[in-house]
This record gives sequence, C-alpha cells and structure tokens, in this order.
Amino acid sequence: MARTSLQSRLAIGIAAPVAVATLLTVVLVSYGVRQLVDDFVLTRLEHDLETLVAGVELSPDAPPHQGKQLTQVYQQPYSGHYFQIEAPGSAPQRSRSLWDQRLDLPDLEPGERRTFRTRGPEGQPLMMLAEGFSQSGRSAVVGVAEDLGPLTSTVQFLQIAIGGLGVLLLALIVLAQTALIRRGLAPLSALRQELHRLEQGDITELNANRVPAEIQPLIKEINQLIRLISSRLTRSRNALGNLAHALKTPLTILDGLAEDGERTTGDELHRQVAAMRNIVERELRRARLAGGGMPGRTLAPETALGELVDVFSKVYANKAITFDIQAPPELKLPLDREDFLELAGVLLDNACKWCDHRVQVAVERTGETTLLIVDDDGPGCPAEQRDSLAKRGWRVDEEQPGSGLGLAIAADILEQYDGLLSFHDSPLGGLQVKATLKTGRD
Amino acid sequence: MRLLLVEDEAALAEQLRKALSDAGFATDVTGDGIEAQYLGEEEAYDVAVLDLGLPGRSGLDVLRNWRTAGNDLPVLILTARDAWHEKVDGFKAGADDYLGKPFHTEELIARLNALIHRASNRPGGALTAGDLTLDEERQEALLPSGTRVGLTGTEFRLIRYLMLHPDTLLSKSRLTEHVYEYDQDRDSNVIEVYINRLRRKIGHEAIETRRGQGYVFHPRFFHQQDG
Repeated sequence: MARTSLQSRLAIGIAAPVAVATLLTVVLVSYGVRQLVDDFVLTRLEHDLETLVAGVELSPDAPPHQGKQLTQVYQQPYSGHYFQIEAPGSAPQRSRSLWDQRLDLPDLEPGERRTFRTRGPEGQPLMMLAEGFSQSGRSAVVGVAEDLGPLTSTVQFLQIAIGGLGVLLLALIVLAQTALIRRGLAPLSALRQELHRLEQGDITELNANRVPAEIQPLIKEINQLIRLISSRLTRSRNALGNLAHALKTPLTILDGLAEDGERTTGDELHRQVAAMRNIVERELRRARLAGGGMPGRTLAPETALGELVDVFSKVYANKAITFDIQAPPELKLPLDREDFLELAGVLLDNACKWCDHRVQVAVERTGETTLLIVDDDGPGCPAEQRDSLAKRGWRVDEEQPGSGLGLAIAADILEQYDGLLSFHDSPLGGLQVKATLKTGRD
Repeated sequence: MRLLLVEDEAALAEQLRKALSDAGFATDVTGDGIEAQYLGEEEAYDVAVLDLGLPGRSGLDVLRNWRTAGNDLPVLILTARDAWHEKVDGFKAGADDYLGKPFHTEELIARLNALIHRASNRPGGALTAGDLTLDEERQEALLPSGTRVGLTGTEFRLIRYLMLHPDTLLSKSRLTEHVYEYDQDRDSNVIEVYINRLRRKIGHEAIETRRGQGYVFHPRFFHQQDG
C-alpha cells in the first residue's frame, strides 16, 4: 500500500541515515580495534621472537636449544603464549606451555618472516609470527604465537555496545520525531473539524488564526476558493431562476395566442420568440463569465483591445471608423481574458454602432481600480436618459426585445468585478461610457 | 454570385439554401469540414458562409487552411458561438465577417452583399455602375431614366457579376462558373441567351461581345448623355 503518511515518510527519512551511520561506525570501530589489537600483539610477538632467536643454539645432533629464559607465561601449560623452534633433522624445541601439543610452522628460508592466524591447543585462536633464520650454516624456523581469544571477546563486546547504542539512538530519534509531528500537525485536525463544520454549513469560512503561520496562506487560498465557488453557485442559481421566470411570460403569451388560433398574427409570434431569444442569449452570456478573484490571471489590455479593433474594423468596414487605443503596452491586469473581451467588445460594439467615424478606447489603472473608457463621436445620449441606459436590462423580465442587451451584459460583467458603469459627455462629441473595475493592488 | 454554404444541420442548411438562392446566390451546400475545404479550394466561389462546429474538420481549421494556402475567398462565419473572444479567434483565423445564431436571414444576406461589394473594392450601399443601380433586395435594375426593370434569378446573378467587374473581359466559362451552382448543367451557350435577354432589358450597347473571348460590360453607357 503506497500510503503517503507524513509520519512514515519523515521516520524513514531520518531513520535510514541514522541506521547507515550506526552501521558505518560499527564497521569502522571494529576494523580499527582489530588493527590496534593486531599491532599490539604483533609487537609483543616480535620482541619475544628476537629474544628467542638471540638465545637459541643449533647443534647438528641435538634439538635446538633455547637457553634464554622467557617470561613465565611460556612455562604455564596452555597459557596462551607459545613458541616452537624447528631445525631439519631433529625434534622441535617447544615451549612448556604447549604441553603435548605442537604448532604447524611453515617452511621458511632464512630471513623470511610471516604473520598469520591459526588455531592452537584447545581451539584457541592464535596470532602467529614465524621466521626463518640461520646460525653457523644451519637453518631453522622459529614461531611465536599468542592467544587472541580474550582480546577478541573485548572487541566483540565493543562492537555490540556501539551497535546497541546506534539502535537506541535510532529508536529515540524516531520517537521524538513522531511526537514532534503529532504536535505540529495537531492544528490540522482542528482544521479538519472546521472543514466538517463548513460542510455542515455552521460556518462560512475557515478560521485562519487557529493554525500555524506556515499553513495560514493555505487557509487563505481555501477561503478565497470557497468565496469564488459560492459566488458562482449563487450566480448560476440566480441565472437558472431568472431564466425560468423570464421564460414564463412569453410562454404564457404564446399559450394565449394558441388558444385564439385564427386571430394569431405572425408578428406577435415573432415578438415573443425574439423576447425568448434575448432572455436565453443574456443568461447564456452571464453563465460564461469567469468573474473576478481568479488568482494568477493576467491580461495585457493593449493586445486584447488591438485584437478587438481588428474585428471591428472588419465588421464596420462600411463606416471606415478610425480607432484610437490608449493603453500602456506594459500594463497587465488580473482579469479573465474572455470577460475582458466580452466587456470591451460590448462597449466598442455600442460605440461603433453610434459613432460617426471615430471611436476611442482607453485603459487606465489607478490604485485598486482600473478604468475602461470608450468614447465615440456620435449623437450621444441626453443626460435624462442615461440613467435608464444603465438600468435597462437590470431585470430580465422588464427587457424589451432587442434593446439594451449589450449594456446589460456589460453591467453583468462589471458586477462580477465589483465595478460600475457610468455615462458621460465625450470630448469627441458623442457618448462616453466609463467602466470602473476593482482590480486590486499589483 | 456563387456561394459555398457550410452548415451541418440539414434543416437549417436547406432553409438557408432556399433563402440564399432567392437572393440570387448560386448556392452549394456541404455539411462536412473536409469536403468544404476541398470545394473552397477547387471551385470559383465569390463568398462562403461557414459554420464552426463541423464534422470532419472544424470550421476554424478549414478557414485557416484556406488562408494558409493563399485562398482569399470572402468568408462569413455563421455560428452560435458569438462571445467576443470567439469572434476575435474567428477573425484571427481569417474571417471577413461574423454573424451569431440565431440571426435574421435578411441580415445575413445584407452582410453577404456588403462582403461581396467590399471584396470588389466597392463602397457600401447599393450596387451601382455608371448611373445604373441594382436593387439587390428586390432584384430589379434601376435605369438612369428612373425605370425599374424586373429580372429573373439568373439574369440578376449575371448582371450583378457584370456590374461587380466593369470594363473587364469576362469569358463565357467564367460567367458560367460564377452564375451556376456546382451540379447544375453548365451549357455555356445558355449564357449567350441570358446576355441577349439582359441587353433587351438594359440596352444593347452596355454589353459588348468579343468574339471567341467573351463579354465586356461598359458602365459608361449609363452615364447621362449631356453632351
């Protein structure tokens, strides 16, 4: 099971290096101690060997005679310290400690020396130093050995001690770390309860104060998302409601028309169908809006307006309109491209419809708001009608077929961005439409 | 005027084909993107009406392929996708005009006429040549004298093509190509018959015959003779 528990991942992440380090320590210490022991034993053996060789007498018919007295340990049977001298043609001379045992010495040329491990009396592990030498034309081999048993067991104890310490350390670290994580993540279970309450509808957003600073940005993001989704939900609910209600009126009329069949005129049918079409169109456009608050969206208004102007130059080719775009090329806005194109498209379309031959569009960002200003040189709109311009289409069921749909859509988009639409006299002579959007700080 | 109608919904396509034919367009219909692209490449159309959601190949791809191949056939996109960002994409792909569904047939025809006038560098408004005016809505010719002359469908298509290409030598086969639909019987001798009928209606000298080459339409014939 590939469960990605933070706990186990951290435990493995810490335990593995500690285990490796412990193992390495054990290996290194064992090696070092063994080397130390070998060196120590070997030095002693060398001394004893030199003493032996210095004191030995080789005669043709007698076994090699060792006159010099070595330490007492070579006299005690199976003491762990042994020597043996072998010369060809006679019985070997052995230390008393060997008792009835003998050592296997290799054949060595004079001056040749060899160190090796072997087994001695009672199976003792021995370190053996053997050397070939010659005395007045006779050659012999001398071997000195020492039991490593007591030293080896000390080394083993050391190894086990270090290993044990490593395991203990490991266990301690894992335990401490588990406790730490439990403690560190405790606020998350509080968060889980919060989420549960959110789901139940007891609260509308998560409390960011109850969690550690590292998690706070996450909570803020989640809250942002909750707001966005709930505003979308509200919007789509409203849209569905509006749609259903708005369609009822023309449907009722159509029903009525169907009842007095012979007097029904095509015109009336057309009018009702057009009304329904407008309703569908507007709700469809509202449904498409992304709305504000989407993080990470950036839009270059200059590029987008350039693209739109290309479109309008073609759509209104017969009017030969001169377009003037005033937007800083480096300006980037946190807006959805489709929403912006829809808003600017509606306003520009309106301006193109009414203009004589000039349309001007400007984007300005000041502080937390962004202005989209569209001017035309058309007949304009008298001040007393401007209010109804802005209001028209606010409520779908008051909609007259074919009127004000564009500006109603613009108002819908602005609503998503906490903005508003206002109308003024244009310096070009016609109407100026000013859209104010809340775009927040950079 | 020959028109390519690319629309995959059969009922709407048929309804449109009728309306467009009545408005004097020799209309070929296809509902498939790949076939549409082929027809646009192979046939001499004057204008195309293009739906975007097509089986085979999307309308935008068809349009892009035409434009990449250097085909500058005037194209009007007719689609339910009429958000401004979608229009921007359509025009970027090379469309000349864009009409959202649902639409009024009259508006479509008016836009198509405007598109054709634009393609032959004509200003907007009624189609005129000299002092001869063509009423495209009623399919009537308005003579300098003020007399209205009714025209049959083929006559209307023929005179419109002539008026859009004044003082130009037009071969019989070119006229046939632009006046008849794809699967119609194309006997180029029939053009002669229609040219003669037109001459009887608007004046013999207006259309000059170049033997073995074709016809030239002279708008100057319609200038008021004031010396």
